[in-house]
Order: sequence, then C-alpha cells, then structure tokens
Amino acid sequence: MARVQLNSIWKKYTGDVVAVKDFNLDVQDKEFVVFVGPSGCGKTTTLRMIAGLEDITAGDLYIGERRVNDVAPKDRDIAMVFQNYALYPHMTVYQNMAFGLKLRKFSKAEIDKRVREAADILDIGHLLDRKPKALSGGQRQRVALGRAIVREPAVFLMDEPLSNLDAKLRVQMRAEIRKLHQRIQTTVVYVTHDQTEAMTMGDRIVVMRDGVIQQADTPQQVYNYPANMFVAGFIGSPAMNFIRGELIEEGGVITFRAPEVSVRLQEGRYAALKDAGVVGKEVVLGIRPEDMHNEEMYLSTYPDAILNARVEVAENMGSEVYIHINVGGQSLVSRVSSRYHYTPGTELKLAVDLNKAHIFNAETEETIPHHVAEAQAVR
Amino acid sequence: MKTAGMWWADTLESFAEAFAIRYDLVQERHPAVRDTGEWWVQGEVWCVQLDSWAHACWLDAVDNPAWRRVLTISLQNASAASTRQLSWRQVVTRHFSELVHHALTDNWPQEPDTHKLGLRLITRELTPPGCFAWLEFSSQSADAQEFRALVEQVIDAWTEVVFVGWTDHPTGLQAAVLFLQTGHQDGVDDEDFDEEDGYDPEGSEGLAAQVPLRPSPLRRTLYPLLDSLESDAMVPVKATVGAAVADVHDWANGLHTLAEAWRERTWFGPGQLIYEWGQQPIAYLLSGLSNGQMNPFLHMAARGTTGSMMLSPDLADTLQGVLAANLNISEASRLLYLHRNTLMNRIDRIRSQTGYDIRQFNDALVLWVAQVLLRRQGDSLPSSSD
Ligand SMILES: Nc1ncnc2c1ncn2[C@@H]1O[C@H](COP(=O)(O)OP(=O)(O)O)[C@@H](O)[C@H]1O
Ligand SMILES: [Mg+2]
Repeated sequence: MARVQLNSIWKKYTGDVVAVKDFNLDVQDKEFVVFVGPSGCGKTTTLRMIAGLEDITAGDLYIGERRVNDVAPKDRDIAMVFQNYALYPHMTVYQNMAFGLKLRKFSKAEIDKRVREAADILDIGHLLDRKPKALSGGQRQRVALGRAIVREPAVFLMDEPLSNLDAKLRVQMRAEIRKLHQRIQTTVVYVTHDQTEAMTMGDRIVVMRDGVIQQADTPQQVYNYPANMFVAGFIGSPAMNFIRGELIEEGGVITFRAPEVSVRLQEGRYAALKDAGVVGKEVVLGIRPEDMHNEEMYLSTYPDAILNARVEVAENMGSEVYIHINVGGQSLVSRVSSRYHYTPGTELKLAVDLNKAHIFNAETEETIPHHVAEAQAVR
Repeated sequence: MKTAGMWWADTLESFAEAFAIRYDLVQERHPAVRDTGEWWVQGEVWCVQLDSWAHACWLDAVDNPAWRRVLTISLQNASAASTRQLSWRQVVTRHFSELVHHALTDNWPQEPDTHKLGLRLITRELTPPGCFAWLEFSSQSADAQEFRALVEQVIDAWTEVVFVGWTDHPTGLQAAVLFLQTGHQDGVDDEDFDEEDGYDPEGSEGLAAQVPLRPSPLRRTLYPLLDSLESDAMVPVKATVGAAVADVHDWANGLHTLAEAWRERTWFGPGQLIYEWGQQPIAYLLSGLSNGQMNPFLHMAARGTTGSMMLSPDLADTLQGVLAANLNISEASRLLYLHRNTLMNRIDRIRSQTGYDIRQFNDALVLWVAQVLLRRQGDSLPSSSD
C-alpha cells in the first residue's frame, strides 16, 4: 500500500522526442487513478517510468516515502499487467500464477499460500489445474490479474490490459477490476485511451495530451467542468458540440451569436466573462448532446437560448436517438428520446440548457468558468 | 582488429614464430570469395585467407611453397576442428557477434555469407519459418549468472521462442540471440488476439511509428515474451528482429538482416522497444552509401551556403515535426508543442542557415536526407542504453 508521487517528471527520448512534460501528480494510497488521452500522448511512457522500465529524464518519483528514480523495477514493490500479457500456454493456472514468485525464489509454501489466496479473491480456485486453453476469455484475464496479485505489491500498474478483449468481455472485466480493487485496497495506476473505460473505472482520471496533463480530477468533475476544449471534446460520447461565435454586449445584456444561433447568457456569468476579457471577442460555445432539448418544457424555460436546426441524419440507438443536425452551417449532434421520429430535412428548434453550456476562450481554448470564485478554485 | 578468440589466431601466430616472419592482418571489405588457406600474391606480397572476414599479408618472404602448404593445411585443420567443436548455438552466436562487430565498422558486407553458415548450421532444434531476434537488456545486475538464469527461465516458458545464446554486446550490455518460431501455432490461442484490427494499440500515429502494424507472427511470439520479461522478470528489454527465415537456406540471411536491423536502429531508433528489419527502407538505402557516394550529394545539397547543413538538435527536431505533420504548420506546432511563432522563427533560422525552406517538400526532403547522412558520418559507436 503506497502513495505515488510524480514531481515535475520529464521524459525525453533520444531523437529529441519529449514524451512527457512537467508531470505533477500525487496518487493517494489505495486510489484508482486512470491516465487517459489519445494515442502518443505519453501515458505508457509515464507508466513505464513509474515501473522503472524507462529512465526518468528529470524530476522526482516517490513510491511510498522512498525516492525510486534509481531503484530497479524489481525493488519498487510494484506489479504490472500489460496489453500483450498472455498466459504461458504450457503451464497450468497454478503454475502461471506461481511463476513470477518462483523466479524470485520464494519458498514453495509461501508460493502456495499466495496462489491460493489470490485464486480465492478472483474466484478461480477450481481452475488451478487447467491449462489456459481450457479457460474462457474472462477466466484467462482473471488469471493474468492473479499473476500480479500474488506479488502483493504496493502499487498495481496496468497498461491497456483489456484492449485485446472483445467488447462484451471488456465491459465485464472493467467491473471486475473495480471490484477487485475494492477488495484488495491497493493503489492502482491504470492506462487507457478509451474515455468510457476511464470514466467508469477511475476514482480520479488524468487527461493527457502531448505529454502534458490537461486535467486531473474525478470523472464527474472532469465531465461537468472540463478545463479546456480538448478535455471537453475528448471526454463524453458522442462528443461535446462546439459552436464558434462571438460574445456581444448590448444594453447590459451579453449574447452569444453565431449564424442561426443567438443565446442570451445568464447574468450570473457576466462577471467571469468580463474578468476573462472575452466580451466582444470570438469564443466557442460548448454544449453536450444531452443538453440540447426538443421538449416544450425546455423551449419555454430557455426562450433566449434556441437553436434553429435542420436534421441531417437520425441514428436510433434504442432508448434514445442521436440526431445529427445542421445549425447555420455547423454540424452538431443532439441526444433525444427515441419517442421522437425525425426524418432528414426536418426543421426543429432546440433549447440549450444554459446551466450546462460551456464557454471557451477561442484563442487559448481554456474554459471560462461560470463564476469568478470558481476561477480561483480551479487555478 | 581483434585476433583473440578467432579460431585461426593460434595457428597463425605459431606459424609466424616458427619461421620468424611478420604479418599484417587485413579485414575484408566484402566476405571473401577465397577459401581458408588459399594463397595469392598482391603486389610483391604473399597473402593467405583466414576466414571470410580476414586475411594475413606477410611482410617477410614466404617463397617456399612447402612452408605455404604447411600453413594451408594447419588452417584447414583448425577450421575443421573449430567447426566440429562448435555447437550450432555457438555457430550462430559467433557469426552474429562477428556481424555486429562489422556493423560498427566500415566493412559492412552487402551480401550475406549464405554458403558458409548454411554448411555449418545443422540443427533440428530450430524449425523455420521464423526469425532471429536480438534482445538487449539495459538493467544492471550485480550477478550476471543469476541475471542470465532468470531471463532464460522466462524465455524457456514460451515454446515458440528458442533461446540460442548469449552474445557479446559492443557496449557491454547483456544481450541474447533468439529464434522466434512462427510456424506452429499450438501455443498461444488465436482467440487471445483480435485479428481484424491488427496490432494497433491506440489507433494512429504515436505507437504506430514505433511498432509497425504487422499482425502475427510477432504478436504471438515476441510481444508476449517482452511483456512477460518486463512483468515477471522485471527486466527492461529492447528487441531487434531480422527478416523472416523461410527455410534452412535462409539462416545466413536471417542473421545478416538481424545485424543490419540493429545497425539501422543505432542510427534511426535507438529508443524503440522493437525494431524490425525493413522498417525504414529509405534509411537502409542511405546507410548503404559509401563516403564516395555521399560526398557529392552533400556538396550539391550545400548549394554553396556558408552555414553548416548539420542542424542543431532543436532545428533537427523542427524538421522532423514539420515532416511528421505533412508540412502543415499548425499541426507541426501542435506535435512539437511549440507556439506557432516560435516554430516560424525556427523555420526561418533553418532557412538562413542552410538556404532551405522546409515548408517546401523538396527542400524538406533534401535536408532530411542530409541530416541522415551527416549524422551517419559523424557517428561513432552509438550507445543503445537510452
Ligand atoms: N522508446 C521510444 N523511443 C522514442 N520515442 C518514443 C518511445 N516510446 C514512445 N515514444 C514517443 O513518445 C510519445 C509518447 O508515447 P507513449 O507513451 O507510448 O504514448 P501513449 O501510451 O499515450 O500512446 C510518442 O510520440 C511516441 O512516439
Ligand atoms: Mg500506450
């Protein structure tokens, strides 16, 4: 059990690739932290530096109270599960789980105790004599986890461990890994490029881009208060809609304007907008697909925040419909109840839930918070 | 050149001592067409072939044909003895070590020494198809014996991977040659892999630049092996992979391409976890050029500018980024994590130094090739520990 601290960590590969820049993170003991971001953003590199498989170019890494920059992987008290991790085909489940301990010369009795304990935790005690071939996909994945668990490490490091699984099994294993974490209460650093996986698994998610942390917070907080356009667009599916326009102040009223769009902003936000100096400037309005409503109730609640849209395509997802719409030349997506049927070409009005609308500085792409006080809290 | 450890060293030395004559050792530029023990006269000097990589030239007279016959027979005997005494594993690791040695000198052979190795490598333990791979371990272990045993245990756990032997590494790292058998599939199950999307860890660029999109057979053999070395033995490891060996006639080519891939990696991808032969065909083409062929190009490319064509690391980085972004400046500034103005400023610096505007494809191309060649020329032994 341990805390993991990354203080101003940098990684520069030969050939001048800077893969990780000034990475600062304090992973609490027993916390489940997920690194998420697009391919090449430095997730694996960061994880491998924690593991000791890559050198740290600059900065300090602590596991527990110990600075481990120069400590060999085997002495860092960690266990890893990687993407390509396959079971040894000619060994039984028991032998597979025992192998890592055998390499490290644990006694037979100790190995036996640990393997049986881990098998218990994972509910695979009845499979110990089987070969991997005779296991289902889910059982194999559990054995792979078991091999890490028997090490009884202070920290688990997992790099896309589920990405070789089919979609259904992947969803099931997400839940199992979460349950496992609750049971064994060990710090976990988990890497994925899949935002859904990150949202459903992490106590905290760390969104990365180009080697830089964009935001580190709870999934809910990241979803509701993305720090910038990148995070806003990366987290959530379908992705947040962005509309480029201008903030215009007339007679004490601030309005967001774009072709076919005129949204009068709530007065409560004025102070923050002025503080950010974006009034009269180009900004981006961000609205999640579920925050644009076609129901009468919303249309009457937000008469000053109506979009005139034309339906391009309607995708029926069962309980809801994703309607791809065109608003003044910009393509957006809205999620509405499948009670409604839209055919391409239909004209409709959508009300924006202003409490959930985001405004971004078009130049810096940073979020402009709702309130000035919030701004201070974020910074 | 090193003679210690060469099978002919003792024979040669005792011959020189016995007749009190001196010799010079000469490395071949290409694998020799002469047989071991064959004599010829070069200018006024008698020379004798030792192995395919070396011959000796005698500084003193060896006009007596009987003397020459003695050496020929001794060398042939020593050669036969050495061949018989070597296990197939030693044949492979020696041959490969020799290749690595040559990869670092200007004596890189263009054609694999197929004939010689084919005759000497007879084993049932390696079953083609497959490919040779070289693992380099960067971990510092106090006890080499223990370290090797640990690694061998993990390798042995994978039936498709045949451990061939430990080899010398120019920088003193632990390194081992393996043969990855890609023919029989009774090991890892196909279900573990989703064949349709190939090996594409995260979809696009990033890793793809690093691990080429090549579904099996490496996925079945090498990837799980590396993962298990890292997570079970907890040793950082890098792998170089040679071209496919389809049958026993390809042994030499398999090793030759492995050494070739390693030579390329030292220039073009020292940090990559897996470097496969054939990954960088253009780089390969360039690396085959002699100085005589490179120099006219570098002269032409310099276009009479006074500045150096060799870019500083930050400018070389800029060029790389602009190319990676398909010459799109906004994309390049994103990739390079530079403000657009900073990037423009660097592009201008490149232009004033070299006369090339890297926003133009032709300019960027010429400058890129020049970087590769200049780096190669200036390269001594690269370190592969980083
Ligand atoms: N061994 C390496 N040598 C050089 N560059 C590397 C190496 N590993 C990764 N990179 C580069 O570092 C960046 C981050 O890669 P990585 O950490 O694998 O990203 P992610 O896991 O988020 O996809 C990428 O640009 C990648 O090409
Ligand atoms: Mg990765």
